[in-house]
Amino acid sequence: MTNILICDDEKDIVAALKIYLSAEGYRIFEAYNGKEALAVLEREEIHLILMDIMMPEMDGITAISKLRETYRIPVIFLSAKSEDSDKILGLNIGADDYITKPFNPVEVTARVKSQLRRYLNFGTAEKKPEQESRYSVGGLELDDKSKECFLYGEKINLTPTEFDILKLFMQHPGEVLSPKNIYQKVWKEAPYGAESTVAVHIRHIREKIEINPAEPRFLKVVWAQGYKLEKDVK
Amino acid sequence: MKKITTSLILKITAFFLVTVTFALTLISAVGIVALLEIGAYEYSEDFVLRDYTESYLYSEGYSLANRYHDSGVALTPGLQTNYYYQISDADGQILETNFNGEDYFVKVQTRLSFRTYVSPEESYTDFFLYGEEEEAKLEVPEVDYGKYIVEEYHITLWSKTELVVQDRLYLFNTVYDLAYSLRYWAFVFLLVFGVSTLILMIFLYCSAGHRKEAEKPQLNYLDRIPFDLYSLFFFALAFLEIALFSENGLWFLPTLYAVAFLFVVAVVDFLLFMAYTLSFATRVKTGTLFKNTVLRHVFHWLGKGVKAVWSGITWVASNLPLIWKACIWLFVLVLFQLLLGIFTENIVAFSALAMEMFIFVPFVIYYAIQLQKLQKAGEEISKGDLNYRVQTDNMTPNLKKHAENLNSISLGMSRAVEERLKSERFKTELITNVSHDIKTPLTSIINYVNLLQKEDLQNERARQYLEVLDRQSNRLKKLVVDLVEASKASSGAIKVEFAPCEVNILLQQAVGEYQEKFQNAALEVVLTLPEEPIVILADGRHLWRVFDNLMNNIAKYAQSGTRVYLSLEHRENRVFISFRNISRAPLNIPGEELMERFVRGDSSRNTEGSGLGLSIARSLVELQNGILTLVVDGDLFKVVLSFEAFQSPSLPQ
Repeated sequence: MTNILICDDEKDIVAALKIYLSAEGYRIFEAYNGKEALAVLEREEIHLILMDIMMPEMDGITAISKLRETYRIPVIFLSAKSEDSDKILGLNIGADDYITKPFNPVEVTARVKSQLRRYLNFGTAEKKPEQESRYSVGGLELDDKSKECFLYGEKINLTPTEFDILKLFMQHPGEVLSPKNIYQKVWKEAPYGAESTVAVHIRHIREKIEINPAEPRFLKVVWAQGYKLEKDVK
Repeated sequence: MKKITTSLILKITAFFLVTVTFALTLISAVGIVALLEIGAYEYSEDFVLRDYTESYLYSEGYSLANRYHDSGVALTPGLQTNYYYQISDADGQILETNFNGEDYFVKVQTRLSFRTYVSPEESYTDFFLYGEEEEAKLEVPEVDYGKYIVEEYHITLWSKTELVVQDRLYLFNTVYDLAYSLRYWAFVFLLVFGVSTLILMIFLYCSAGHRKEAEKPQLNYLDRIPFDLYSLFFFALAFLEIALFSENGLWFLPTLYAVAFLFVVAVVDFLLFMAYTLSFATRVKTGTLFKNTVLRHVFHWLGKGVKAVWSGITWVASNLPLIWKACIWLFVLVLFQLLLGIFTENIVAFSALAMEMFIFVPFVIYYAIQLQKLQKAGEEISKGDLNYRVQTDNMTPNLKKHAENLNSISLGMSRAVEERLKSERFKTELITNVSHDIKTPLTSIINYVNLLQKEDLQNERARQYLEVLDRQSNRLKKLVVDLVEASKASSGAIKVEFAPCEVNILLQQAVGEYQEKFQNAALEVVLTLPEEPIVILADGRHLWRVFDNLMNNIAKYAQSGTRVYLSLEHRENRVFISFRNISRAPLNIPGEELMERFVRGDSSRNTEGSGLGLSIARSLVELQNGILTLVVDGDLFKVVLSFEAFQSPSLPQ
């Protein structure tokens, strides 16, 4: 049984999240401020925390810096603060993900799953021996022989073109590749204005491997330059 | 007319003709004068001839007598003459003759006597001549020279009816014969040649400067010589000629040669006159008569120099600090008064004046320094430096008051600006905070609506109501997000990280991102990109946000089944990105108004979206130093973004 702690001063939100996550088979613990959350952590074995930032008594930022002293469990921030600076602060202080309010319940569920997969199972996947035809970046794995793609061990169906594009990114993790560059390497011919095709295919790949394609974590858009595959995904 | 005045051949012909007609006119005029002189209009032809022949015979007779007296032979035997002659002495003894009673035209008789004085020291001969009719006695000289010898010759000459020798009598006969017969025609010739000369001259003046290839009169090489220099040359020539003739005359030349020489000189003078006046005409026509003169150039440069000096002085005067100006004026004033003082004899008054100056001058300079401070402060404040303060120490009370006023103006203004900035910041902060507070209940609403939708509701109407709740809560969510962004973008509270952005790639990415949305809305995208990469300096993420908003608008508001044109152009150091589409709803609002917050095409008010998209896009474009223009032309909706092109075309890949 996986235990999740939801910490928000808004009781209705806690209740709603409890309904969604319970349906996925998780055991839910509730807390209404940072102090309570820390108390629950003392008592129970918690595998993941969903936490608001703005709370009375003790806010999310203080709470996370306290709990990081002893725990390395995944923490997802849930906040109405949607500024880039807020997100960066949250992630730097020790959160593993940041979801802005109002959120889409389906997205929250997907992100919770993704974090748990990484925390609970992924460690074993990393131990697999590296092979010539196998590429691995973050939780993404690509087998060039069987032409298969896995995200945290889960198989993802890609078309041959999508597979080739993703392979190109896996070969150059962290590098910005321009549409022209991608077209030349994948289609092996001069683009002549066909670069927008690349953008369409990349969007399709993002829809398959990202939880929220508009805010990709793996395959990121570098606007006005190209695309890049993030090397270290949280 | 145009053709005539521009024909070069015609002009050259006219020039030759005018020379000829002028020469003929001159001949006619001279002929008339000569004929008048010899009385051709008063007397008969015979009379004039007789008159000339007589004078001819007299002069011949004298030379005959002289020759006889000198050498004893009057005429070398066998020499042809146009006359017969007879020389006899005082007693009537014939000395020499060839007259045998032939027919003759005119007969003259004359007498020549030689008196030779002989004294022991010297001897000289004097001769006297008398006319036939003049029966004068030999005068006895008053002074007695002593002994002298008198020789007297009587000469008779008869001119032949047929002239055999071509001497001057012959020439006169021939020329006069012709001249006499033409003596009335001469007036006609004068008139005809004179008039044609005038006409030709007028033609030449009219055509001067006109050329075939040019519409307006043109200058030739001569016309380009400065007019005063050109005139000087001709007047010098004329002056020289007059001086030469009046000094020496032409007495050294025989009459006939002199006449011919004068004639040639007159024709040459005429040609020079024509050259001068034709050039004059061309200059008048092109308006360069006074423009192209050395004098004018000289005055022009002089004028320029004076102007430059004057503007230099005014420049110095206007840029001189107040204190310097005051010093200069004071110096002038003091100098003037001192000079005045020197010329007044009252030494007491003079020293009083000097004393006054010594007290007065420092005061004025002190005031000037204060005024300069105030002036500087005014300038700084008007330039926008609101933190500038005037140092009011050591100021006279009235100016101090003024300085303090200036200080309080700048203080007030800087406070006002601060207030404004503060209120702008406060507004943005307020909107952000309020939006946070709205977001929390909104999260609950959205979640519970979602949960409710998952419940097994039997009531169809309740499901429809839920549908509305779902749509409207999502709209509220978007509105709140957009509101924060709009307020931040318009107040400039967004951090912009400028980097070279390749617009070609961004447009391709945008088209890729929106491919499905456009497909669903049945819109066809026509993307026009130049071959070479177009780079601007912008923040890629914000630029994408602008494109995102615009593309989203197109997807939402464009008429389905139409084409959407996206194009990128590089013109004169600027990059233009345009988005064109056909609006589904009629656009009855001007482009500017569409960008105002919360305004959308009237009939599209019910659809999703906050109406802030364009406003945000414009603010973001302006934050990136670009310009967003919106054109509504009927149903054509066009947004053009323009940015300055980034100079270095190489981009790190």
